[in-house]
Amino acid sequence: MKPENENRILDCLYGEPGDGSGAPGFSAEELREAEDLQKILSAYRALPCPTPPSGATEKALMLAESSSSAKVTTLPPRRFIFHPFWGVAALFVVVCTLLYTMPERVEQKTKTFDTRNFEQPAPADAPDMNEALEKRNEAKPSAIVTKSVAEDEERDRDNLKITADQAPPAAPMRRGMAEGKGGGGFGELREEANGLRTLADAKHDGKDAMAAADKSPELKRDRDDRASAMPELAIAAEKAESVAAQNAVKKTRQPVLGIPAEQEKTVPIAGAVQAEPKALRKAKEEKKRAEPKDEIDELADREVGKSALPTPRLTAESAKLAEAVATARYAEVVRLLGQKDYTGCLRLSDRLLANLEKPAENAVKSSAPEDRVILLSLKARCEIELGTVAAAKQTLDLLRAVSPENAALLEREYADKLAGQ
Amino acid sequence: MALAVEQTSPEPEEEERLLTAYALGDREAFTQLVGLIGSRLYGFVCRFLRDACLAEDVYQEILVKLAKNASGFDRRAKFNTWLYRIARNACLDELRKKKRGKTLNIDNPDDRRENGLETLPSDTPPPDERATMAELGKKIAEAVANLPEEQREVFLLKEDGGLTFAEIAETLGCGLETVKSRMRYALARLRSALAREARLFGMADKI
Repeated sequence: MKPENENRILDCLYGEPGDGSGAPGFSAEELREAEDLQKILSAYRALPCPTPPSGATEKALMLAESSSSAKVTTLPPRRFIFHPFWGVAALFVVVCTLLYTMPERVEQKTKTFDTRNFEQPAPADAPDMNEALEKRNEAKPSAIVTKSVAEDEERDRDNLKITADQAPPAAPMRRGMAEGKGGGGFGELREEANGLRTLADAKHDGKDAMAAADKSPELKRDRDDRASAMPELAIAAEKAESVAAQNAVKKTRQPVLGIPAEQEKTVPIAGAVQAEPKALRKAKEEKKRAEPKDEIDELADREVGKSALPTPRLTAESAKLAEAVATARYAEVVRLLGQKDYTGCLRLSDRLLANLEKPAENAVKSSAPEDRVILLSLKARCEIELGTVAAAKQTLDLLRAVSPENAALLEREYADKLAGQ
Repeated sequence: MALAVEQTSPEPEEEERLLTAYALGDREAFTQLVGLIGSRLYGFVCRFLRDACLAEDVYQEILVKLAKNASGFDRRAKFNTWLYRIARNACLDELRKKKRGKTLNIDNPDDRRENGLETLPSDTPPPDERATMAELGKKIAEAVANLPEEQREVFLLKEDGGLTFAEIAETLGCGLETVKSRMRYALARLRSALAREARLFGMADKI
């Protein structure tokens, strides 16, 4: 039988839309089949329905209501203990612990080390540079800071070194690592920490290159070699260092005489090829000391009455000479100088005479008019000995105006030389 | 000859109204609802499961689900479709759970009693006719019980549940033509099984 006919039979049996009610167009066989099925279905429908169990409704209602109220109750203890939330929480705790206890990366460690040791405020007992400079300025309120730049630089450097040394120690873990005690292969950080300390010293006041050179043997040796090979570089380096130190002092010190420190003239570092190493500078200073300074100039520049004590560089004889100059005992000066060369004697007499011509600056000189006589006599004697007779005659004229007796005495003494002209 | 058969299922609107009333707290409405659908539903479950004891438990379970989900009925599907989907799923779950492959033995008096096959209506015909009907019922029940499951569930949903083919298709989640095809096969198998009992149906001269 074709499916279309079977569908027609279904439609005929169940009377749904599209059915062929009355079985139109059915063949005899289809009609017989439909009748048979109709009888079977009628017999099936005529079968008694099974009786549902009594009380099932009430029981179902009771179960439904009890189960719905049970929904509100909390989780059973077993489910609470083995809830997945605890697993997630435990995993989170483990990850956090690992992250906290894991060693930091090297970059982060160096940054932390730098921050803890050098970027935090200095300890209370550490010397305050600004305070020291302020005190110094207060001590001389009317004077602009005239101390030598090298001296300030030395003090500042020492202060910085003290500050860095007195900085609080690193955290225990970091300190242990820095000392090579920390586990996990971080012993090499000790060297790194030392290097960082050196670099931190160098950072301050723009003198990092000089300080690093001072602390690094390789750099120092290299610098010394280059400086010895090129003296002009060393001179430029000295100049650059001096200027840098001056600028650093101006940056850090308090305003002097109401002038803000930043408005003070800052000398540009021109021609600064490389900073001079400390050892080279010291060697140059010693060399300078070793050279005999012109004693005459030093004695003449010395203010009368102020430098009674001889400098360590003077010999015993020179000390006597200095003492004589300081106390305006020019006769003694002339006697001491006369044992030496006439050139120096002449220079000293000229300078001392020039000092006498100045307005009265010290009481010793102004009250001794015979000093002029002595000095003029000395000058004339030296000029005659050196053969400058014309100059000697002029000096004799000056001497004659002051002391004719002394002038005549000299003319008689050196009559031959004066006449030989 | 008019072969169309009147479907004798209660009005769907009445069932939905009672379910809504129960969802709003009227317990009596649920009792009335079960009174309307209980007999057909229980018959479907019994014939689907072919086990009276098991059918009682499943029937109880279906009623509990009905009561629990009363507020969840959203009227997008018809009540019968919704109800018999619940019933079918419960039966299938139970069959899978129990893994019962036992077929109903009509010859077993226990089975017959459990399946209500011995229960006859009170207004039964005379004894000779009653004996004939009993024999007929026995044969039909046996034939239906021996149908393959797919055909049986379609047949039961159509005959006991009173669903249309479209509703059966929606309940089973398959196509309309599939449902009709299964129904055709079920009817053909029934006719073939009952051909020997043609005299019972007055078809002896025709088969």
